[in-house]
Amino acid sequence: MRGSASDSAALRCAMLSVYYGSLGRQMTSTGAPAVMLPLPVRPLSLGDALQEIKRNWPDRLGEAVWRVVRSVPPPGCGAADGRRYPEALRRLVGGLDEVGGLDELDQRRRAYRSGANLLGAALVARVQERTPEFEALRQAMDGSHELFEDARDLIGMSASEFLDTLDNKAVHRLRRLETEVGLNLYEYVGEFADALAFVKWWSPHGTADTDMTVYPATSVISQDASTLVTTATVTAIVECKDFATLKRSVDPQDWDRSSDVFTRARYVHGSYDLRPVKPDALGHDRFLEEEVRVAWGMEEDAVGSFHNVLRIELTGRDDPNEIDVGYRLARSIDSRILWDERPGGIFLDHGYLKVRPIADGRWRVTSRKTLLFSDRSPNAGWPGWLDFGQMLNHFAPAALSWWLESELYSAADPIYAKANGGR
Amino acid sequence: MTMADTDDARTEPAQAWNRFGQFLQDMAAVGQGMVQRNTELWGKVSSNLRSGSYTADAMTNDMARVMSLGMENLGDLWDVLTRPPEPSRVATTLPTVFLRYFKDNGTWSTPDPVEIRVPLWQRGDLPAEADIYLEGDGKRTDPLRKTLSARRKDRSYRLSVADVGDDLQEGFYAGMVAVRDTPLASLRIVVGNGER
Repeated sequence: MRGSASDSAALRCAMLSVYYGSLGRQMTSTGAPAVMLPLPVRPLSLGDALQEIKRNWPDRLGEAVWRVVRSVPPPGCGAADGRRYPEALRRLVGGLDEVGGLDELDQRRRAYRSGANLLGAALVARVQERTPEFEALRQAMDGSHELFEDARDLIGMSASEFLDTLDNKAVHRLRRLETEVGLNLYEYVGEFADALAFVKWWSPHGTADTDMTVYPATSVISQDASTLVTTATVTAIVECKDFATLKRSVDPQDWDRSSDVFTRARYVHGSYDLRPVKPDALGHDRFLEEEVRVAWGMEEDAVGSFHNVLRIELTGRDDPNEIDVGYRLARSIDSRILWDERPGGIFLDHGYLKVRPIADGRWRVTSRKTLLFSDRSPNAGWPGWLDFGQMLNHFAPAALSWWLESELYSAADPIYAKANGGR
Repeated sequence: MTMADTDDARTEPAQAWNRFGQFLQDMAAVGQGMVQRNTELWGKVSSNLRSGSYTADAMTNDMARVMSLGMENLGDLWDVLTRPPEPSRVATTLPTVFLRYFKDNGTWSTPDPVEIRVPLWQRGDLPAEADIYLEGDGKRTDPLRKTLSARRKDRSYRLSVADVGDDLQEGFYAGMVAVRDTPLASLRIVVGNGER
């Protein structure tokens, strides 16, 4: 597990503040509702949140910095310039001896992004079966760009070697990738290159030798401005020696074993019958009782909590190296936000978790979640952020993306390794 | 003076006194309930106060409990004053529960539970679950009916929604929540696709 309860609450608040602070830049440009939250639930400033994480949870600083870095688009045709990044990040990085400056990061992002265009074009040509075009692009890639060699760090082989492994099955997977991750192939490869640039910059000496390493790749968040339905799709590349470890980390009944969000997850008989069920007695219909919480402040009590039952759908797949976990809300039992405790609290909660092989010992893990909190003051509508009942939905883009990403990062917790045993 | 005139003259004042007696009896029952509720609350608050550290959060929680208790007391008094039990069978108003299901990318929403308060004089010997009736062809209403349940929770029934399947059919549904011979609430449900 990840530290004591009071530590966890403070970490949740700090991480959520980073997500909130960094997402603001993206969300305003894509037209989501502008957010101004009332003082009791207002997050920390980005600078304070980053310094808090650096001071108390240095092992989580990489996640926070990556969140802020990717809120700034990679440099286009202009020169790389570290001054494009938020002041809070510049101040933080200036005080870190172990990583290069933001100018260096920006330079790397720029270089990788140009290589990503070529790789993206080759992948699209392969998927669309335009063979001559694919061969020409494949040859143009040979030794031409540092991105193609550096890709080894994430996918265990060079980009050219990866293209050579694309059999019909892999091409079929690539066709479905756009729907699953919520990005087209060009965008996905671009994000992949960006993540690789960050990994190389942040951990220049490589990562520690662990059972599982999670490399962040993409995160897509959207909120319908009229209904406030929020959807987040997060994709990571996972390096794992033993597939069983990865399997355990995505098993719904183990979601609470190393999590910043889940405090309880267990299979039960049904939506109203909350007696636990032994895993070996599970039939086709699986109901998971979950308790989750989101921090609104630094204190342990300042949390929003939700108690739900989810219907879990484990789809059997032909390839034993693939996993599909679908879920949707079966019953929203109760919830509490600040002083407001009541039955229900969530209208929509559905999504999926997909694991797909990329190469030997490497998988793509995509997690998608759609969420709509119910209006907690349905008979008293106020405009925008003044509406307490809709406050959670205004928070949802930040809370939801942090939720999914922290869950993916937590998959690397040694608790999932075989020696520690699963449930 | 005929015999009928004599009976009328006797009945009217007697009925008025009956009602007054009933009112006093109801007030006594409400008063007893309020005293018990207040004592229980004070027990909780004093135990918090004695716990050593009475934090701002604990005080906020207690304030919320006091507010909630005040509303419950007021609700009971309101019931006694505005919904007096009728001595004979007369038509009365029935509260309405409104539920709205909507779809997002092929998945139906799960509406929040709704509390159905049971009038004071109907609270004795209540079953654990109330009956739910939906009007219309069973083929159409069954997928919706199986998502609904009304379970007793303290002094009310909680109408909850769970396990909404893909087989739900769009449209308007009407029905009723009842306990034996006593209707508790009228049901109006819209199952709609498209925008919220």
